[in-house]
Amino acid sequence: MNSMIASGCLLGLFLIGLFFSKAGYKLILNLSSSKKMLRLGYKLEDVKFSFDRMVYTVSLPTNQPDIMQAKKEQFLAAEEFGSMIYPQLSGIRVLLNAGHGNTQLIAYLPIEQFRLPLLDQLLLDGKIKAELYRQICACILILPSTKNEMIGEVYKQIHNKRFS
Amino acid sequence: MIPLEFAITFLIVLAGSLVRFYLSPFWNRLLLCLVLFAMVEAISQSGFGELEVILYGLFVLLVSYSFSMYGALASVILMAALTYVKGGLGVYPMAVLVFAGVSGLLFHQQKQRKLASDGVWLMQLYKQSRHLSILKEISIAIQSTMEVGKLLHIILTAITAGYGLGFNRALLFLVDDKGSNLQGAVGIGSMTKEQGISTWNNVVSRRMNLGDFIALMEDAQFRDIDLIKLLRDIEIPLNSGNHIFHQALTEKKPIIVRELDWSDTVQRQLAETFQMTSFAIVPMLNQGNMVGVIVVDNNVNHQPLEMEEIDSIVPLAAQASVAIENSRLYERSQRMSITDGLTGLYNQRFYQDKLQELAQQSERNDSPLSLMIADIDFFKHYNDTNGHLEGNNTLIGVAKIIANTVSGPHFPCRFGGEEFVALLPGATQEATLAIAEKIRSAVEQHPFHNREAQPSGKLTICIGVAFYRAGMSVQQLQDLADSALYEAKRNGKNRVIVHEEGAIRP
Repeated sequence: MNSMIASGCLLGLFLIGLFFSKAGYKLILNLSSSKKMLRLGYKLEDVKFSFDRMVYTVSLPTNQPDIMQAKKEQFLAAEEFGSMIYPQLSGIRVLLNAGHGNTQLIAYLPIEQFRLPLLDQLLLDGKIKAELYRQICACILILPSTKNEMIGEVYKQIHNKRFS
Repeated sequence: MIPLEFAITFLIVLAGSLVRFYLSPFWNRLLLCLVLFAMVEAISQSGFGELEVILYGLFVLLVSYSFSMYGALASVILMAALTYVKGGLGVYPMAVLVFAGVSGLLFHQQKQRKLASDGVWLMQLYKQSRHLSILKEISIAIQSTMEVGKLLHIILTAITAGYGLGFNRALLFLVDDKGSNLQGAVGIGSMTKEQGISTWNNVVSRRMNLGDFIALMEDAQFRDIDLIKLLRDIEIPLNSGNHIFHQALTEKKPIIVRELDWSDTVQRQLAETFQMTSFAIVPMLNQGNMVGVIVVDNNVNHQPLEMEEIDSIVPLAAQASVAIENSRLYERSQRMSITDGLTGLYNQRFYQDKLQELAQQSERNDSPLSLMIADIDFFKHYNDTNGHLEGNNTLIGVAKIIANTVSGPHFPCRFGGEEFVALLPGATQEATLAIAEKIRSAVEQHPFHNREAQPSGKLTICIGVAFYRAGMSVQQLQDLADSALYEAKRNGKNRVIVHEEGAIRP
């Protein structure tokens, strides 16, 4: 009977591990990237970035009332992963929560387009490899502060009046 | 009491589920499969009968999904061998293992296919969307100005900025007015990779996108002075030889140069001056007419140039060509609206506006302002004697003398007929008189056609000078200069008379 319960627990633990792969990936990504950056002499916070390569699925400037009148809190940044069992961040989508479970895609930033000058310098100097470059990019992208800034940027661009 | 092997396996599963994310994708997959194997083995020790086969099947499914064909084969063989060792391999367990292997393989292939196709079309859509938004930003930005310099800045910014098309460097050559040469105009980009990354770092710190950057009017200046200095020394004849610029303009399509042809003068010049090893040329055409060429390269990150990327410059180059032509036309018409058609001096419209503006400035800053009015002596006689055509040549000659003498911040204008005026802001009374005297003397000595036929035996000019005083209107200033001019005429011509503090003095 004990073996039966233990087997059940074991199987359960394995399935939970699979089910929470994304959470595990994010946790380890953060720990590992911070450590590797420190070894290179930088903190993750030192890395400057911008969202200039983000693409918008709505025309900017927009006059769509649903988008223009939406509050900042209605926007959310969703991570996009390539696989559930072996998650790898492929990009960040900024969505507008229109209520009643409806979301509208507003902007998208693929990880390949999230280029960072500091990492480019390290890559050119041969201090990091492309794989680590991508890993650090992914880590920075999934930080809550980065996602908040991304939402702020989208909100700013939507309300930008420079052409009006 | 939980058996020891379960406790150990429990720890292996827990640790493996997290540690695998520290590893590269291959080792991540391998570790997860090993963890599952350990778990399956631990559970199968308890003797679950037929459930054991299902667990083996689960393992085969994961390995096949993770490692495709090799994984499927290896895992089926491994689990079949284990089953055989434990109690004989029957048809049912083998069928389960093969089914799991094939299913895992199919899942893997479907996943790979989906990832590949999704990746391709997503990237295509991404690129097209980005290019469209750049084009839109540029179209709007281009409409905001008619200045050629600002236009060129906008276009090159869109090509080089990370938030634009992201090429490391862009050089722009424009066809000169005669259409015979391509002249280096402007460029953006760094000469070294360190400069490039430092510039990019600065831009990224400011968190601006293309629209924001273009909207900053005060930033609209070219900063790469060394690059521009080198560029402006380059002049490439369009009709001599069959060089790469000529080829791009005549074939009317972009060209990528991946390996330099040292026999091509232009390629050699670009390589020697800018250390270019590989670059692309995009022709700028407007209604079939050559406007210029854009040269791009990636001298910092050495990303290979692909035609797909170069194609995205083509609509920008087309827009830029139209905008540059329009801007040139606008500048020409603006210049014409303030220029006298015959002499090339400023016209009366300009003079009146400028006089008003300078008088206000003089009043505000308490700075000197002088006005000269000049009139050719016996000009009617000259016209009657030599004809109006020669009269016009004389007007052009006098205008040249005035323009050469009144330079810098001063404004020579044609007032009308044979009358000229000059506005001299900031000039002292002594300096003004010296200039007026120089003009008078130069006209007197100039060998105008048939000047001997004039009543005084030479062509001469009278000049009336007045100085602006605080509280004076522009009309008063003109009247003073005018009365000084009449005084000069009354006093025998060919002289300079000054109207000063209510008195007239020669």
